[in-house]
Amino acid sequence: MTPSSQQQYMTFYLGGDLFGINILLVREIIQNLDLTTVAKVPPYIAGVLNLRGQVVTVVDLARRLSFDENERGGLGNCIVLKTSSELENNPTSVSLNERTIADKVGLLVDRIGDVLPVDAKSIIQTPNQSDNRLDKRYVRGVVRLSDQLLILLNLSEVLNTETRVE
Amino acid sequence: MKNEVVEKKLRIKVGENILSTSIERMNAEFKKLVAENEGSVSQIELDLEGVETIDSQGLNLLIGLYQECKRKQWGFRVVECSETVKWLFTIFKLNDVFGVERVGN
Amino acid sequence: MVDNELIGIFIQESKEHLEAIEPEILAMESASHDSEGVNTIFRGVHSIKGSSGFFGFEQISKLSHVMENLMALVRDGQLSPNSEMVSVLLASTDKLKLMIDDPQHCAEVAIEDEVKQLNTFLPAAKGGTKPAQDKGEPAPKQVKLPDSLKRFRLDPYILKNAMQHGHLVFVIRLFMNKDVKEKGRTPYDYFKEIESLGEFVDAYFDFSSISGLDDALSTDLVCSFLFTTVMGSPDMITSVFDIPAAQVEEIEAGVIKEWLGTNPGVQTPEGREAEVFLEVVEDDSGPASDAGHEPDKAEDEDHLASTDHLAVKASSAPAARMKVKRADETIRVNVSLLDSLMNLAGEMVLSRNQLIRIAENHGQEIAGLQSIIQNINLVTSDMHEKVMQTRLQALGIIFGKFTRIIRDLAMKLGKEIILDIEGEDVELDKSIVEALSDPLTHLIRNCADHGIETPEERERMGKPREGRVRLTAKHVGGQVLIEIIDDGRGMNPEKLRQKAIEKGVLKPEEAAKMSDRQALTIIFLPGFSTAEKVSDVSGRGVGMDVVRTNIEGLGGFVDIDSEVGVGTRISLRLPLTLAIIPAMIVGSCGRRFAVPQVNLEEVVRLGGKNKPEIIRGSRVLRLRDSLLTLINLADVLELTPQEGERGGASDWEDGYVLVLNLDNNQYGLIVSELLDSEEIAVKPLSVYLKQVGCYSGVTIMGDGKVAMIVDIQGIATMARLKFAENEINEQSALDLANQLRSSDSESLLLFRNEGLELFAINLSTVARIERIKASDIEHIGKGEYLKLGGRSLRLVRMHDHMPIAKPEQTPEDLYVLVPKLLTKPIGIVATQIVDTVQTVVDLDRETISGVGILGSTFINDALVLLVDIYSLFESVDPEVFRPVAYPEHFKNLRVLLVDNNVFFRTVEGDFLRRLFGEVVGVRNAAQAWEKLSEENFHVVISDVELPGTSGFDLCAKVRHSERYKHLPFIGLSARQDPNHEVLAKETLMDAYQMKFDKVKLLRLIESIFDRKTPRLTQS
Repeated sequence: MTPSSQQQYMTFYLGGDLFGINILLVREIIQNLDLTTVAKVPPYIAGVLNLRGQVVTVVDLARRLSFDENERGGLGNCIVLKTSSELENNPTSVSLNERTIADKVGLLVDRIGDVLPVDAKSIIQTPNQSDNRLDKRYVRGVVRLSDQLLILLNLSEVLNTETRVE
Repeated sequence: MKNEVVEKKLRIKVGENILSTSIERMNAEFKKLVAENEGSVSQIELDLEGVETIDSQGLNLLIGLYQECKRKQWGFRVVECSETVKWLFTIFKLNDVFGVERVGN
Repeated sequence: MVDNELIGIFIQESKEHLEAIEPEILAMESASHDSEGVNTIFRGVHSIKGSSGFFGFEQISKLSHVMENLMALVRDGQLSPNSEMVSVLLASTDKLKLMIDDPQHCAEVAIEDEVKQLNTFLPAAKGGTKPAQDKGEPAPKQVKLPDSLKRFRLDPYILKNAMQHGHLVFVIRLFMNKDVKEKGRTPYDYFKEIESLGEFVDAYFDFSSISGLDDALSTDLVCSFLFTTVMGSPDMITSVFDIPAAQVEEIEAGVIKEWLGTNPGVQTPEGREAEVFLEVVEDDSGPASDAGHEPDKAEDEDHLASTDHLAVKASSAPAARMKVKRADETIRVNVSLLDSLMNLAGEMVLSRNQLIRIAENHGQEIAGLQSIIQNINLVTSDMHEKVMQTRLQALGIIFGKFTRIIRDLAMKLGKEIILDIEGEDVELDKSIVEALSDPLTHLIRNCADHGIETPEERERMGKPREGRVRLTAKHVGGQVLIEIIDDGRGMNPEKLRQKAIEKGVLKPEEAAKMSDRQALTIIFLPGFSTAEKVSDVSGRGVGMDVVRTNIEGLGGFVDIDSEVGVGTRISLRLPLTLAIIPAMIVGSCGRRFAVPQVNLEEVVRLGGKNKPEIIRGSRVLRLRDSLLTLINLADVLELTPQEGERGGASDWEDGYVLVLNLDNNQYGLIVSELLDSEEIAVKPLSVYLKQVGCYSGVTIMGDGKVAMIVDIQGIATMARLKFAENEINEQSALDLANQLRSSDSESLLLFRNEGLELFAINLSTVARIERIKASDIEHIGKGEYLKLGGRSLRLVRMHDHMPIAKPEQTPEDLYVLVPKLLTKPIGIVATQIVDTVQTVVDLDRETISGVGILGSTFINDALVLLVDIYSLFESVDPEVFRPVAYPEHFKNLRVLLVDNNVFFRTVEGDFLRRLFGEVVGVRNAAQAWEKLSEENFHVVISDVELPGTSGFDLCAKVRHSERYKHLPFIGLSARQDPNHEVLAKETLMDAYQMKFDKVKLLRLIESIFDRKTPRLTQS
């Protein structure tokens, strides 16, 4: 797959910021969350939910990215990601640089945005306006849209269980 | 479709997936381009950048274009194939026929 | 059309071929290789060659082709396999594996080495045998061929073989739309069909059917296949492939033979790259081939003619038979589909359970409902069982690779090792089989690396040079037992203990406490590794602790047994299936949890008679004869009750205790509510949830909500950590319970009096033990005295007063036991202090009795007489110790005596019985309370220090109750403690005094009863 091609991104809001991940990584969106909290989990795990008989672990993305509490807003939606084997079975996704994990994971976000096409060429690698709130390792790059900045998440880092969230 | 004539080469950039839903239109376009450039070109270079999928009907279309060129004794080659498309051509034993070249990466 | 799904199928099938091939290659090395195995290898590489060629994966095709050449010669008996050949074949197989993992990039993999090495085995004969990759090599001279053949890459070997066996050669043309797409098939399907019926030679897509843009869209693209087959006629082809006869063309044998006669090399197709291949045909397509002739025939023109006929005649029936055979036995199913099926089956079970429950309540109302539900019940169970079976996989799947691993390791380490495998047919759930792969690999490698000695070492020890490793699997009582047994070095428990201490994994005390058998399990402790450095052979950062964790994560157990110099046996026990387990659903602070029933022994409701006690800072429950350590789930998980929910601290009062078994230990888990007993579908934990450590899985309840499945071991571990924080002990909570259980026992001092008899007195009654010389004793009158601490101590010789044997002589060295708190000091003479023991005393008062003898008991199989020091002293000095006269009316009174020490209970009891009508002795406050409610008492005499509720608390309780608040209560203590005095006042005791002073006690009781009203002050 030539990297110069356009990719579609699923965008979503956390606080006032717009984030995006490659749509090929997304399995589905859940809007009415019936989250069960789990005792003794790390703070960035919001809980688990039942998705047609499968148990999905939901990551509180804002917590994971170390957002302040009062920056949260919205009702809360969950973006369910594909598992790594679902990605492998579809070779188009395989050549993406992103990986998910073997388990079923969902990301808890505030609001869902549009699906936007992003040209690889328009991705700025290290944003000059350094966002001090965000840990840079979670960011793959940013894209200037007409009216705002789209922050592309480094999903592999976000899902990485080794990194400790301070 | 974007196209330009450089020296005696007609470069056609397809720019979209070649699927049965769109081939009627594409076929018509190809025909038009061929007719328009009759006499002023001796080679067609098909640029498949951005083309990820070619279904069986799409294949027919490409072969049709190839045969068309052969009839007119024009050269024909395909450039900027993605890995998937190149592999597709391999399966159909078309790679050497089309003189497939992949540029980049 | 051709798409990624097909590549997926190709990869899958090729991998299976490789998996079948590898063990056979290994088998070729040992003396007993059979032709069937060689054929398997041949068929495998041939198939890979064919399908990879079809897809255009040239590199894979090339390598497998050379392998095929080699195998053909082996199969034909022209080559004998040897160790080198096996190694080369294995290396080639590895390369194939590499390429097949990513076939589209197979060209990037270097295969020159393998090809070269394979070729060294091939004799130079047979013209054109060079598999050297040489693009652009001029094509061998062309022979006139019919047009239909010109576009194919023709292989003399396949065709020659076909001719030898009288097979027919066909070209079929498929139309992409008409025959393929519209029939819901793919060209690959046809390719596979051909493979099963004959030999695939080549295929190409013929785009000459399209002339230009005008007819491009309306033309149906054609794919042409060239193949040889046993099938006797074109009719068969048309029916098997379901295509019109016009699309099937038979190529005359004569044409082929002619071509073969002129061109030993390969026919390069027109318009294609020139590549040189050699193909040797495998003729094993079924019964037809065996009909009348053998596969490996030398070239023989005459023979060809005769076999032609045979083949033709014999072929009709077999071909049809073959088609049927192909269709029935197995079917490919995508694993994810099976997973979905399993989940659905699981959900079905849960719904059925709910249905049954509801039907219980309302079933009668609807006619016929019960029988329908019964039917659903049976069908669901059956279906669930069958679905679970689909997921069963034979262990052989993972066992297979171990032979290779051992071989490679042995060679690398310079050892000789044989691996025996038994029980490859044993089946387990697929996910368990997969999860076992890594741990077993590690164990096997460990065995080879550390277990088996070098051949020289073995010879020196008198063992055979070859080390033997046995890998066995068998079903044992509802579980699967997998064992790895080696005859190697064995493990030394002492060395393990040392290492553990050195590495700081264990404290010296902990290590010392372990039995040898337990010490072997040290290797499973995290942070431990017996090798000096982690050898890259067995260590990938995967430690033995991970192995155990993995196995236990599957619900299994690991055990180890070993003898130095003899060998080691590692046993793994695993459940057969994972998915659905019976569980108890409980609630704590409003949340639901599932506790696997397999560990659940019983459930006890707290409250009433069942109350937790605190012993040395940890909470336990007295359950029949033992103490159960308690852990509150809410504490471990740090839960607080949600709105309107019960739970947390209140659970200690009225919650439920789940008595759980954990290996050889037990503990009680406290929860708020007991909800239900259900079968639940266990879903695996995500990596985030696994890290927590106290959950073993997650399940979805009937109402769709998620509940966590509690990990019994994990909870205990987390609770233990909490205990450690509280500085109770660093022992596990369970050890603590064991210890606490011992508070029922007493400390006894064992001694002798120059005889065979063993005597015992309660150690807490002894103030001191003095060593004296017989010459120190002063004789005054009839008595013996000893100067001690400025005072004269009257000495008592037990035999003077007790019905025991008198010693012959008195040794010079003696001991004097001085009891506590006697008004007049007296010492007991003993000749030998034997021991002090902590034991539960089972007092026998009947068998042996007499003055000074409280009773007898057995301690470590020895008869021990318990000394009654009071009656002994009474007989020594009757005046002093005779009780004063007591009122008659005491005979009507009933006393409740509370003391956990059997000695005191007995002694005091005896004494009191002489005064009062009846004395009832109980062990603790709980029993006292019970007795009070059952019977009437006039006075309570209680030790203030009792296990659980103290005497003070008991008194407070008595004072607080309506019924008993006027009951006289006397507290006795064995120690001087100012606090006790305070407490006695606070709890409104009538009196409080030291034990051992009978006279005082008597006077106390007298004064209380004379007063008739409880006194608040201490006497």
